[in-house]
Amino acid sequence: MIHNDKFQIEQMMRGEHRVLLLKGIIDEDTNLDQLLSLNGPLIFSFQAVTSINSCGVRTWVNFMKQVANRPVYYDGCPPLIVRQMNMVPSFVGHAKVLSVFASYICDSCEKEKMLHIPNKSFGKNIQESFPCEACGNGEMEFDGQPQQYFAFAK
Amino acid sequence: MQRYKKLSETSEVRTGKFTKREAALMISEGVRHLHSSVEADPDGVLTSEALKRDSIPTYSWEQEERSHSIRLSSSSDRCALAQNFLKATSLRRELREKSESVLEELMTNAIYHGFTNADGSPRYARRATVQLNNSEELKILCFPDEKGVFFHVTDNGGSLSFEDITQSFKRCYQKKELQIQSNEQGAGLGLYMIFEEVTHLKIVSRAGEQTEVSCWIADQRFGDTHTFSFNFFAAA
Repeated sequence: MIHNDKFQIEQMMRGEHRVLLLKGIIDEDTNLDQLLSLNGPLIFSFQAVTSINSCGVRTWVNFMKQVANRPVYYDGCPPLIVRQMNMVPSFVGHAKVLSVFASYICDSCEKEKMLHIPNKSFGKNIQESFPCEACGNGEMEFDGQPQQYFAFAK
Repeated sequence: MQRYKKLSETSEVRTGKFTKREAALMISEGVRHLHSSVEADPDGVLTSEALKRDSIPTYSWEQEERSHSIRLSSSSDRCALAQNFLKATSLRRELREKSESVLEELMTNAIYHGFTNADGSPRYARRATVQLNNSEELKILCFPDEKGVFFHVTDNGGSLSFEDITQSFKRCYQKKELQIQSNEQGAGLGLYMIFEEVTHLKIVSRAGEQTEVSCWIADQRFGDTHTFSFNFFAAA
């Protein structure tokens, strides 16, 4: 749908909802103008975003201002996006965050695992740890501090 | 030997338990040397004895001798450089992503803000692909290990001033609605993002000649998030 060497947006249907899958690098070269012509709510999946720099944050914030009157949802936000949500409040703006990914790491074998966390669990009721399936010895622990990680949800 | 202002001639060294935000507000009010706890200065570098010296202190986290050296000559290489170099390490994801972000912002700041024309205006436009000429140097040292990552980025533009830092922090930490700048040279978030992500940050400024930014990003599994430091040194 939108394509440059570094960044692409693909449309996919999830049930009756159109989801816009963001892929690659969001930076000063990212152009989101084509999205303005879409109708209906905007549901963005960030799980395939690999990098975002400060100008990419500005690009996104400016885009969010242009769609201030439309329903916007963020889904599948990886840690690098969650960090921006916490550092720059206007990155979320008026969007509703449906889910994020959180990183867990085994205290024995150091294997990493991303856990999908829906918004009903933000900051509370999240699994602090669970057994590591890879080594069978250790516990997968939340990599970071939940209070800081979910600060955007307050 | 290049002479630097003695620490005792500059603003006081501020110590104590505080958050990054509290530290940034102190910096925006003029504090140039700050460490948040005793653990942030384990070598006792910023002591009363250090205040009497003329030389810039070196911290144990500054792993210059063990670092890999990279010279950046083109702006288009910077993202790939950051990602590829760090991908080759065994850093866990969170630390690797933080490091990529910090390195990208350090390189970007050096290219698009470090090199200026005679009138002080930026030499290179932000959206332009920049090929540095032979007189322009951007040197990067990197040393990742299991406890964290060390970066040292030096440009021979020498444009970063303490006032740039105070203005950035005032805007980003005090006025949330004005965090982001609209000018073409950048969003004005780079210094803020670097400060937020790193554990220790040291800047040495020789106006018009060179800027050195040295930082350590600790793996938070091994450290206390309240232990961090900031130091700005300017040539006399």
